[in-house]
Amino acid sequence: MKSIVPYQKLTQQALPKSMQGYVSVTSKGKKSIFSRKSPPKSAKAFHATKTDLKEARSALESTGVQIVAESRLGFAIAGPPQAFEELCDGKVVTVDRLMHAEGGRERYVTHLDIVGDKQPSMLGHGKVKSSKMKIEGLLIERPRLLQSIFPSPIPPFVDQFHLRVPDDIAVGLGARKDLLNGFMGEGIIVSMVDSGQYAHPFFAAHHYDVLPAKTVVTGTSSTKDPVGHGTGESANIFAIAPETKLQPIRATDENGNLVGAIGGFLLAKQDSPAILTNSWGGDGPYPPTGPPDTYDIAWAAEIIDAVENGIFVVFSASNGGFTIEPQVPGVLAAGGVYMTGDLEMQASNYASGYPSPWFENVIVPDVCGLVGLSPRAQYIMLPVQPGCELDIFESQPSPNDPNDDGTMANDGWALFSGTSAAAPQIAGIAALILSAKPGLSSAQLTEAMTKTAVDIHTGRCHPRFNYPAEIGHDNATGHGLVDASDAVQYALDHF
Amino acid sequence: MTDDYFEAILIWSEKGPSTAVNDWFIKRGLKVAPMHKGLLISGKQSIFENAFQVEPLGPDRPLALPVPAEISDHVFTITVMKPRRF
Repeated sequence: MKSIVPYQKLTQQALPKSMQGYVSVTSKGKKSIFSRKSPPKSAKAFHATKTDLKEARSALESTGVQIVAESRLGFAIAGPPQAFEELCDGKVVTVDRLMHAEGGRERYVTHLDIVGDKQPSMLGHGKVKSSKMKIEGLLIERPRLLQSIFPSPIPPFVDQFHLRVPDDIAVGLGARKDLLNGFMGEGIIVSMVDSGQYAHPFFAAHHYDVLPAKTVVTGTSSTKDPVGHGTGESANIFAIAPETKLQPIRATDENGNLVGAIGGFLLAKQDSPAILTNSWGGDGPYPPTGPPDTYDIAWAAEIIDAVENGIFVVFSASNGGFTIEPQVPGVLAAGGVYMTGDLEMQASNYASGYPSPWFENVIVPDVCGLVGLSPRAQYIMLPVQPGCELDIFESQPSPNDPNDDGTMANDGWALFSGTSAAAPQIAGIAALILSAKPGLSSAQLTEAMTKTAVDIHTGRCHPRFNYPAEIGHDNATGHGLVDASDAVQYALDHF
Repeated sequence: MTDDYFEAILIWSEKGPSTAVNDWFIKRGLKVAPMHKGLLISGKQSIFENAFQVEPLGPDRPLALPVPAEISDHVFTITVMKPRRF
């Protein structure tokens, strides 16, 4: 089947400080190895003379290239991109190419190439600037993938109580496969603006469909997630809707700062996904000192426009923050409920909850997903890029929490949640409903979830707002904890 | 000094959108994307500072930028975005 994404594309990622290559020195047989159409039966004709090897070495070293090893045919070399550019009188660029990678799944892997007027078109093949160098040609090392699986696709076991993806999330939210009548989100695209998407083997092992990430900030990698937040939280979507397609949008800079959130939202919106989930927001005084400023009004108009374009927009309620996004009418605001091992439920004191002071009849949240408790909601074991910010942070005590999550700082797994987990869980439920009943509006999806949510009447939301969960609709948990199979059934029965 | 990436929201004045405004930013190396009521302008801090001829931008957000005279007919405000967090 033809891929809907290009096999190869020029990108603008940061170049490495050092790159590796191979040069073939002029062959004794006078025919260049690069002129052949197939591998030779013997390498002897392509041996270099000692004199040519010496001259080539000297030419290489004069450009700042370091010789790593020598053979009878040429050299393994290393050096900064500038040295390779000097050697070839060309420019080093980054190119993403689709490769079969971990677990047999395809993903983009970044390659390096040299381009310029006299440079060959083959990826990674360069021509040196002068024949006097006694060099037939240069190859830049192509990325090779290790034939083993790291990090493990299986979440590690740790002592403290926690939920595991996908099964515990599916059980807690009524999304066990046997309850879903075959509706598992097939073909529904969920776009997620976040910190990036690392190709963790967890996704491949479960055959989840993750499209290549799009990036907002020039120069950032579409295959990296320096924070781990996007990769980890996206597992919540698939825990509910395993057959959905995820379109990750990376809105962070090279250091993982969320600097392109609005750009990410606009980029996602441009593709008109069925569902757009966002696990981020700002913060401001609560209660606010006045109405939203012109800035927030302009931004809110953009969100409303997405809803009016038929996109089901989910925003996390925030973890103690007060921000405009989840309050925007038409957006589904995702709050938090904590479920124990005995399936007892209470409002999460980590999640924001309040009646909107800016919009009439809006309560944040509308409904809730599964979220941990203060001090840092270490609750769901989620896959992350090994050694990323969350992998390290959660594995160590913090100033307000003497405990760690029991995982290693570089094992590619971390225990976290927040309303950041609730938003993709709810996005997953929307995907289930749409696969059962295509074409429903945002209002109908919201109705299906709010009418079937499990009422929560114990606990309080974040102490900044301090509302209690009460019988019926309340300011701490909205309509309560979402129930996937009941919401799907409601949609089938009522729309 | 770090050269951070910024997003700013431009809101059109009553005169409404103008391609000359888009071009003004693009010419100065900033990216623009249409929004419902304005433009999203993005780029590195140094490019913003050069374009708007301002001193190094401080950390306070939201931050109103001075609207350049050449485009002021069509522009109501330009504001650097408040930080968003996960």
